[in-house]
Amino acid sequence: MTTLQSRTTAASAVRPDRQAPERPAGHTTAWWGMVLFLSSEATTFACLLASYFYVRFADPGPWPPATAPPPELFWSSLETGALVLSCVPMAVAVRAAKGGRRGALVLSQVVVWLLGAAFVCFQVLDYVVTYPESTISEDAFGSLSYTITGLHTVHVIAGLLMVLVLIASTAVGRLGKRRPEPVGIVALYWYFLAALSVAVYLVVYISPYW
Amino acid sequence: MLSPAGPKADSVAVLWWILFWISVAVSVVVIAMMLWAALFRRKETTVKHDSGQRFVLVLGVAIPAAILIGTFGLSVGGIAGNADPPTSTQVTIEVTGHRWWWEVRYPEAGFATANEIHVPAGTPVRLRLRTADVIHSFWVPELMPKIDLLPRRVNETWFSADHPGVYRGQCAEFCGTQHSHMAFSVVAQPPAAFQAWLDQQSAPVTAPDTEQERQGLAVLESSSCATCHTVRGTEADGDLGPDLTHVGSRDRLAAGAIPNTFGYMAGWVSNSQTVKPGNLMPPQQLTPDELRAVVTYLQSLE
Amino acid sequence: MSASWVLPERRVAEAAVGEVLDEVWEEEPGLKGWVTTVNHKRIGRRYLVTAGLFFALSGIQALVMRTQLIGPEADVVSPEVYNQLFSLHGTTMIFFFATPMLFGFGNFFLPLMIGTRDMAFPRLNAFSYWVFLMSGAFMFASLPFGVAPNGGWFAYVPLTADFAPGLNIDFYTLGLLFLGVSTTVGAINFIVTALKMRAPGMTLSRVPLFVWGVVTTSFMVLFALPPLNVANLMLFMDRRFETKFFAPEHGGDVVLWQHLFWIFGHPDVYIIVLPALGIISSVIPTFSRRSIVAYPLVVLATVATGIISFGVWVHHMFAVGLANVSLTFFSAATLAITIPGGIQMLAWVGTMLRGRIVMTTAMLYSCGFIVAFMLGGVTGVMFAVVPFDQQITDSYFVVAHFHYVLFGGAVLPILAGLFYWWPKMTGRMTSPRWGIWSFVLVFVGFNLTFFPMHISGLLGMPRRIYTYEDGLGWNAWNLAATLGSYVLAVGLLLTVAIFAHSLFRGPRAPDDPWGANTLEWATGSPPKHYNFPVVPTVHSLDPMWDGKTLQTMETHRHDDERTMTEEHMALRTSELDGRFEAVMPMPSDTPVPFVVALAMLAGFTALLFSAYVVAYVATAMVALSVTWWLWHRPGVE
Repeated sequence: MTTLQSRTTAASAVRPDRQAPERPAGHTTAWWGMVLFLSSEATTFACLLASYFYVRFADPGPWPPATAPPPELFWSSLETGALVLSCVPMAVAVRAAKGGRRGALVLSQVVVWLLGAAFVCFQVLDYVVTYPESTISEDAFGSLSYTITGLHTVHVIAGLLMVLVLIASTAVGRLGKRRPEPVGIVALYWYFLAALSVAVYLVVYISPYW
Repeated sequence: MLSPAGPKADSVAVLWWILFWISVAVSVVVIAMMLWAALFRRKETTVKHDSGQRFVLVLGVAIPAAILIGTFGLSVGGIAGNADPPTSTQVTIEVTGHRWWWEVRYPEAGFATANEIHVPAGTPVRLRLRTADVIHSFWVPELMPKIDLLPRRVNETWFSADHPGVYRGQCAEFCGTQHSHMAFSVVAQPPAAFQAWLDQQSAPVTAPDTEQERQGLAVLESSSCATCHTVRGTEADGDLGPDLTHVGSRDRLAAGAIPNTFGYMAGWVSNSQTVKPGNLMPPQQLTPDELRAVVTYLQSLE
Repeated sequence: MSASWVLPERRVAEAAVGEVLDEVWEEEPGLKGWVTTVNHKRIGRRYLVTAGLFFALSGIQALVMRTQLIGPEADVVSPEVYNQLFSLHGTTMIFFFATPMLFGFGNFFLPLMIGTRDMAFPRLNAFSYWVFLMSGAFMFASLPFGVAPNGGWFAYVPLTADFAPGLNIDFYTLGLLFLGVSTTVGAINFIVTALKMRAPGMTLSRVPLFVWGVVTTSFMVLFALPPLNVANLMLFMDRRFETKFFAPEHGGDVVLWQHLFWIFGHPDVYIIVLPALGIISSVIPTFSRRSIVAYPLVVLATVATGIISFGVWVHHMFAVGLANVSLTFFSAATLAITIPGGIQMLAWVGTMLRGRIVMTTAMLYSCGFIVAFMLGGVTGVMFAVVPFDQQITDSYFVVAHFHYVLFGGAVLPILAGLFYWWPKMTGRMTSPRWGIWSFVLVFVGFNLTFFPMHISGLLGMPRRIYTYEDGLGWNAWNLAATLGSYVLAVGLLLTVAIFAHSLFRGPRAPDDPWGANTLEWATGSPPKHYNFPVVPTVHSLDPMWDGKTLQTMETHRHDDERTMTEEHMALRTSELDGRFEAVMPMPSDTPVPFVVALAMLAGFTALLFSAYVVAYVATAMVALSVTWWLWHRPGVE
């Protein structure tokens, strides 16, 4: 089967007048699909964070409530740091994919995966080590804090699955210079997770101290 | 709301008629243009191929904008006009919504009644609204627009009735199975009559006169009635159901569902579920004699 | 009629490449093909049929309710059943009929109108249909067991939280979350298709108004559904896991639900109406024999409606007792949204006034729509006036208003669209004579049903009551509404009969029976699997009328990039000016979307019955099948 690229070139060879440079490279459908999906996801988290402040200011009592422990910053700072840091190897992976460097691509993806996994571990440690007593059903403060961080963690786990698929695809040669696109798409999602983790950190862990 | 009987409903009725006539005028013009085209432009041979932007800008933007700015004036004026009563209020009434009836409390006089709100005609009354369970909405179409009753909040408003009369109100926010039967009445009375009503209602009940009524009181105090209902001056002091202290003086029962007569009340007490399915009062296991006695007693509590 | 049987340009193009394309785009026959198809036209048809079926079920519920209200103190159904009926009626009409029905039109016609061969993500398209079907079945399954949602379509807490034991509200929250997946991915699909797959030459100023409507709606879906999903997630967790989002005694807040719901709820009205208005903007120019008046203004109005609609939600909450400053702001925003509505209304009327009118059934329905939408619009303006809103909200006046907007503004356009596009979808014509009867019965029945509700509302009748006392002056208006609903039902049955008759006995339809202006009419009736043998170059807003666009189907018939005869392929063009970018490989038949949807159904059912282990297994199934899906990208094999 002829590949797409060669076919396009063939067509251009027939009619040189319709060749690049006036042909825009343009974003692909997959890029747009991910961007639109992320804008919807961002809205979801914006609603949750807005609900957090709505409930906080509608409640006449202290925030966090007297019965709830104030948030601890140790594990949460670590996890946020890990996820933000993982954007660096992710950026390396995107470049490696475009350059067709398969080894660098696998390696950087593995580092991304490990940092993401560290995020999930730190989050779980934060739940069980820092607040062994408090629960999601204690009060509205607990419900909001756990739901926001929990939903974000679920998204990170989905991201880990995506990175795993990328690593596997690269390993069997389904990804590479000719088809670097999926790496860029997953990277978009990953950067979104990192940005989100900063927002979640600021709202859930830092804002109670304001 | 088409027959307003108080200043708040009056102002809304005026708004309505202004909006109504504007709407009629606008609709008639647009629909007439459409019909004219549909009827008379079918044989037409000259199709105009201009852009038609000016037509849309004038008729679809400029004129509507002018009308809407005027309407906004009405809206803002209405908000401001409703904010405060024209004169200071003499009476405060606390209304609490329950599934599916209204608790009406007169804090100054210190008593509670249910589903019947007496007010002096011609003077503004202050309302303090809260709910005991879900969201309800307080609405007396002839007197005032609605306002919701929300958990953990107290909404305050006012209304007044111009003339003596009885005005029907009803819960306007869906509140569960018997939302349909959650009516109340506002009874506007001349000030003197209102004062007399207040005096009469704030007094506790007097001892029963007849043997049957005495038996009824005994049943009331010893049976499950007393765990939910209060009759001031007796041992019945429950607070889940409506206060029955002067229940005999009320016009209707079960938040407007049935008239307050011996027969209806007896049916209600023995099994209210057949009358208002899903309401929270369980059927009462009473012998016919007990039932007759307790209803006779309750009917005597004027 | 100017149309010949087969357009000469298409005849030439088919002669050149039709046979090869037929083979490339042929689908698996039988049951397997039925489950695995990713063809946008089959999926679009399914959307229309399934949504039509849900409309019928939901309509029967409405007839039962109207019968219960025929007179005071009637005893047709119990209060509990009535409360379930109106809750399910509202929920299913909005979520499972109106939006999916218009998505069905979008699926079938958006790719045809922009001159491409399929949606951008065909497998995702199949997935969104299966999820829609399964979530609809999930929601409707509650009724026969007597556990249908019973908190009204906006399900206010705390009534739906602590005060609603049973599965009723769980069906509501889970069913809507499940459906939300379908609506969201469907919206993404529409946007990307319209942005990246328009035929070369279709710049933004040549995009048909129906496409603008669908795309604006899709953008709104992306930003409006999240608040609803968040609200439903919170409610589900409050009910199941005892979280305290809406529990006032534990720091939660009940008004939070109302804000989240209406931030979704008001845009949703326009989510439903904008594609419907797009249908009208397709029908009216065709039968006025001229291009739409003030096209740029109409586009602007469509987009503006989408944006402003996110700033008006509090007008559903004027009776809550919020601060006056917020009432004033939302009153102004609500008035402002009338302007784009006015622009569109006058553009349709202006088009008719400048054209030559051809009265078909579709055009009759469009005229009926103008009347109904006008009345629904002016009563809508009234709700912006705060004291009037506080007086009349939650009364039957509101019921009348939103049925004029939603039945008048969506169902009548849907019927117009069905009559308009029926020949394209089925290759058969409908009877114009019976079409008049269909319109008369539906239009009279609709007005007789809903107009009297304005009056009963003004007379103080609240909505959502299962019965009412005698002597309140409401009897006559309710009787009229009930009789009207029967007339309406007869009219709709007749309409179904007309379509059924046409399907089996109707005369064959030519490619372009109406002499229409947009590209879907350049395909066969019904269109071939590949839609266009040769992708044309679009020269104007009305490509069928400009005398050049169709020509390009002939001139490009030997151009590989326009015929794409090797495998499933489509053109990718630039977002703004529709310039050629690349030829994209497209996926073909696959059962994976069906499998993913099925696993999700299992997951949601498990959540309903608190079988959390099963839910975990289902989640793993979803993850695995999605991995399989992503692994098999078109063009890699």
